[in-house]
Amino acid sequence: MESVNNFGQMSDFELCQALSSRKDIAELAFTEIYNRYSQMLFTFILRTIVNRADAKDIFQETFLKFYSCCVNGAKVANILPMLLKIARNLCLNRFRDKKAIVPFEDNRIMVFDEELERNETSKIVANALSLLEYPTREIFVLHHYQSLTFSEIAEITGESLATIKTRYYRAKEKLRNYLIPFLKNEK
Amino acid sequence: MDYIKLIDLYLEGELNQVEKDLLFAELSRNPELREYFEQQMQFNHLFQMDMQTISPPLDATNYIFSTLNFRIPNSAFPRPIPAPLGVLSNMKQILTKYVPFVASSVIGGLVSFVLLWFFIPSERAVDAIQQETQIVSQPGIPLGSAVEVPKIVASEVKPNSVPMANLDKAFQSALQNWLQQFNLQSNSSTTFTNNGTDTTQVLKIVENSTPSYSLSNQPLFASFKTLNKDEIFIPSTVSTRDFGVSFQDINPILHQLSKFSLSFRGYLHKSQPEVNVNLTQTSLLNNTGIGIGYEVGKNATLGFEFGQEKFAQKFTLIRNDDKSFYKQNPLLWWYGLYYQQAIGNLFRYESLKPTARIFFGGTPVGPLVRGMVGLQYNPDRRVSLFLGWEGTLLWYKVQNNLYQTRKNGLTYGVSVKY
Repeated sequence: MESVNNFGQMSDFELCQALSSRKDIAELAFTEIYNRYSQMLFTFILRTIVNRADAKDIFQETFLKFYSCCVNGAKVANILPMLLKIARNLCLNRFRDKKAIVPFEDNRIMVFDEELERNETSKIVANALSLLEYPTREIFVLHHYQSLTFSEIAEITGESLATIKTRYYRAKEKLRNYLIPFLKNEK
Repeated sequence: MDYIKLIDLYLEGELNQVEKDLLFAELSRNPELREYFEQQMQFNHLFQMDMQTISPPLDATNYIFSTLNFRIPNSAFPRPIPAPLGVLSNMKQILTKYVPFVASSVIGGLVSFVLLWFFIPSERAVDAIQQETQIVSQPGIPLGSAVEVPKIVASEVKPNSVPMANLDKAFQSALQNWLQQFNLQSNSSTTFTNNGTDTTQVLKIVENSTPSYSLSNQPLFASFKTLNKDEIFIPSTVSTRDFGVSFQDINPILHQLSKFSLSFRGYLHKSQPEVNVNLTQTSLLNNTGIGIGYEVGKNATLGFEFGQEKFAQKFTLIRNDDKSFYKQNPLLWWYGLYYQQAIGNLFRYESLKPTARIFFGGTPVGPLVRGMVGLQYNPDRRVSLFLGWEGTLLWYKVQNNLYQTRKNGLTYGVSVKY
C-alpha cells in the first residue's frame, strides 16, 4: 500500500500521465484514480439514472472509456469533470435508447431497486429524486452530491448559468415540498 | 429584504459578512424563518447522509480491473463507507419482502374462520328447529318429522310380524313423499320390490354403519342394488345432516342468503412485458382479490370482484419529436364482474369439480379481461377452495397507441357462504 500512498500525492494530471507508463505503474495510478473518484462517480450515475443495474453498466463503461482516452494521449488536468462528462453522455444515450423511466399519468412510480437501497434515507432520497425530470435531476445531483458550482455545471452540461440556477432552485423547491414530512420526522 | 433568498445564498456559501449578520439578526427574531432555515439545513444533511451510504458495486470494481488486466484491489483498498449488512439487515430484508404475503394469508384465514364460526349453525340449533317442526302422521306411514326420512327401526323383524306387501307399500310411499320434498327423483323403486306374492316373507333390515348421501342426482339408496331383493340397507342414524339438508333449506330468506358467497383470491402471475420497477404506493391488497358471488345455478356463480395488482407497462412516448421508450410497474385497483361455472359429477368424488371463470372489468388505465380454469374442492357446502391457472389481459392507451399487458399464472383462494 506504500506505493499507492505515494501515488496519493500525485495530481490528476500526473496520474493520467502515469496510465501510459509501465503496467505496474499504470495499475497503481489507476487504482489511485479509482480510489479517489469511484464513489463520487457512482453516486452521480446512480442518483441520475436511478436504476441500479443501468448505473452499474454506465459506471464500468465510464472508467474503461476514461482509461482508453488517457492511454491514447488525452491530457487531463481534472479527472472528475472528465469522468462526469463521459458518464453524462452515457446516461443520455441510455435515456434516449430505452431505459428512461418516468411517471405515467397519475401513477407515481418508484424507480429504485428496493433490495439494494438498504438504508431508509437512501430510499427516501431516491424516491424524491425520481420525481424530477432528467435534466433537473442531473443539475441537482451535480450540485449537491459533487459540490460543483453552477458555473462548473454549466460547463459540463453546456447550458447557460441562468438556466442552471432556475432549474436547480425549482428542483430544490419540489424536493423540499416532498421531503418536508421526512424532515419533520428527523427532528 | 428576501430572507429566503439569503438563506439559499448562505447555504451556497455566497453571502458576505454584512449579509450574514443581517440574516442571523432576522433569524433570532423570526421563528418561522428559523424553522425554514432548520429545514434547509436538514435538507442538505439528508443528501449528505445518502451519499455516505452509496458505494460502487464490488462486481463492477472487479469487472473494471479484470478488463484492464489489473489486479483487483484487495481488502486493504480503502473502500467507501459500506451500507450496514449482516444477519439483522438480511432478516429485515426477508421480513419486508415476505411479511405482506404471510400477513394477507393469515388475515384471510382469520376472516374465513370468523365467518364460519358465526354463521355455520351448530348441531344444537338444527335440533331446536327440528323439535319445533310439526310431526305428521299418516296411516301406513311411519312416524317422522317433516324433514326426516321415514323412520325405520334398524332391527330384525320377526317372521309373520309384518306383512311384506304392506311394509313395502308404506316404505315406498314415505320415501316418495320425502324425495318430493327435496325435488329428488327416486330411481330405486325396483330395489324395494318383493316377489309380490309371499306376504310372510322375512324382511331382513341390515344396519349400514357408513351412510353417505347427498342432494345430487346419484341414486339415494344405490347400495341396495348389491343386496338380495329381500334385504335393504338403511342408515343406522338418519338425520338432516346426513342428507345435506340444513335449516337454510327450510327458511326462504336464509335460503336466499345462503346463495351469497365471499371469496378471497391470490395469484402468482408472470407478466409480459416484464418490468422490475418497484413502487412507492402503499398496497392494501397487492395481488389479492375480494369477491362477492351469487349462486345463479347449481354450479354457477355470478359476482363482483375487486383487488389490487401490479401491471407492467412498456410504451413509447413522443415529446418534442424525441421518441423514448418507457417502462413502469404501477399498482392499480381493478374491479369487475365474473361468471364462474363448475362441472359436477365428473369425478368419483363429487366435492372435487373442474371449474372455469371469466371476468370482465376495468382499471384506472384501461379495460381488463381474465379467464381461469382449475379445480374446485368443497369440503363443506359452505366452503369452497379453488386452485387454477389464470390468464389476464389489460389494454391501455398512450398517445393514440393501444398497448397491452399480458399475465398468466397460478391463482388460488377460498370462498365461504352462509
